[in-house]
Amino acid sequence: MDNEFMFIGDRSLAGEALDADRIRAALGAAAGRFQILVRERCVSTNTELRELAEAGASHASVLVCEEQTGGRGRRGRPWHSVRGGSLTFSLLWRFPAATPAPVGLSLAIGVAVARALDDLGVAGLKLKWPNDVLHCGRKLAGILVELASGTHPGPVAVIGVGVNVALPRDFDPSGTIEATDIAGAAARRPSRNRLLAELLRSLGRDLDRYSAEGFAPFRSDWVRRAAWMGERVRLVSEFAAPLEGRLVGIDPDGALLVLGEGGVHRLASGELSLRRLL
Amino acid sequence: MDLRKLKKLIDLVQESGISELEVTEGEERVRIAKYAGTAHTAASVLPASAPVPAPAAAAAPAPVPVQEAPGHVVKSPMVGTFYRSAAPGEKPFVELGQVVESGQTLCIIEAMKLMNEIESDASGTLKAILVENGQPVEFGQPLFVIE
Repeated sequence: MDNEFMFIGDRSLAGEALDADRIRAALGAAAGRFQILVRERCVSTNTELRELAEAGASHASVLVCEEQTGGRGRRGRPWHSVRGGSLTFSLLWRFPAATPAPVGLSLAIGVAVARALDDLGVAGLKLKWPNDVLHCGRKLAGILVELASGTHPGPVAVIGVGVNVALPRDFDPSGTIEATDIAGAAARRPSRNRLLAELLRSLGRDLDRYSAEGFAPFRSDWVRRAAWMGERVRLVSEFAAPLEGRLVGIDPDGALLVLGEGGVHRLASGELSLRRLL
Repeated sequence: MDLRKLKKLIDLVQESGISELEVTEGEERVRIAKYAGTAHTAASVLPASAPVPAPAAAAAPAPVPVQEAPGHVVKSPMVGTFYRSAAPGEKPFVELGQVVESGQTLCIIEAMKLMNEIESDASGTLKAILVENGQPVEFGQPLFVIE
């Protein structure tokens, strides 16, 4: 998919180049867990890591690239990134055979990403169901989790994460929600190598926890960070009429609960937005 | 096979679009056939060694021919929403009557932005697509029949 909003060559945004040794150094004791692969250019880190997974890539392989030309979001939506100003990576996770059905996994990953960004000094992060990371109502990071097939006995997830680090002033992805970046949200902007290391450390810890206990231990943290809790929202899905109502919570498996006409509706897919009162 | 399990299988057939389901477990074989136009189902429990009878329609008020050889059923590995294409407006992964190969992507099941591409675990002709695009599916729900 063509990305209309590439700003190739804007070196003022670039900062430190992505570097496997620097990422490993920033990971410290956790460095041994991850296989880090840095690429100059990818179409989509998720697509390419899924191919590597099918070819036998090891557990906890990480594919990070400087420039992603066809980043994907939910249902084929594009994920826009900026060379030097974005962090886009995918993490391969082979869960043990006894892992609970990974239905709440994408919400748990949202919590793990928010926790890492908390540790880097980004305050007041919210999660828009199921797992967009918002700062002051604007999108800071996006996550796409895909399950891969193969002979591994447990679930195999390819976890794609895109973080806006330093966007050009005229960045306009024309999405349903405005974008923001780490440069504007954090007191001090970390290098992308350090940012990736913090995200991996947090993801490693929380994915281990998910393997053992499923979504349950993440639910209260997710709810505490929930964007628009108690407010009027609208959920748009491809094949059903839009649903409007008050966001009242999430089910134990992570499904969205909206109090609308006829009572509480349980929703497992769709695009959530805040209903603007006219 | 206990009654609870049998009841569950009957419910599964009733809720799905398939006309007939056969399950073998140890020495027992259960075959459940649905009569078109009604929600009525009939089940027969037989020893596995016995030959499969012709359409089990003894008690049916209006017998409808039931297909022989129900084929291979591809089931949903999780609760979620069923999509026949990768993105809105895109071509479906597969069409009815098409020859599919083992490993070929048939659909996507989404649960809260966890996207699961379902691959065929058999090769053959796609005989039935049992779920409408965009509909919710349950764990274990039959999605496709391949013959």
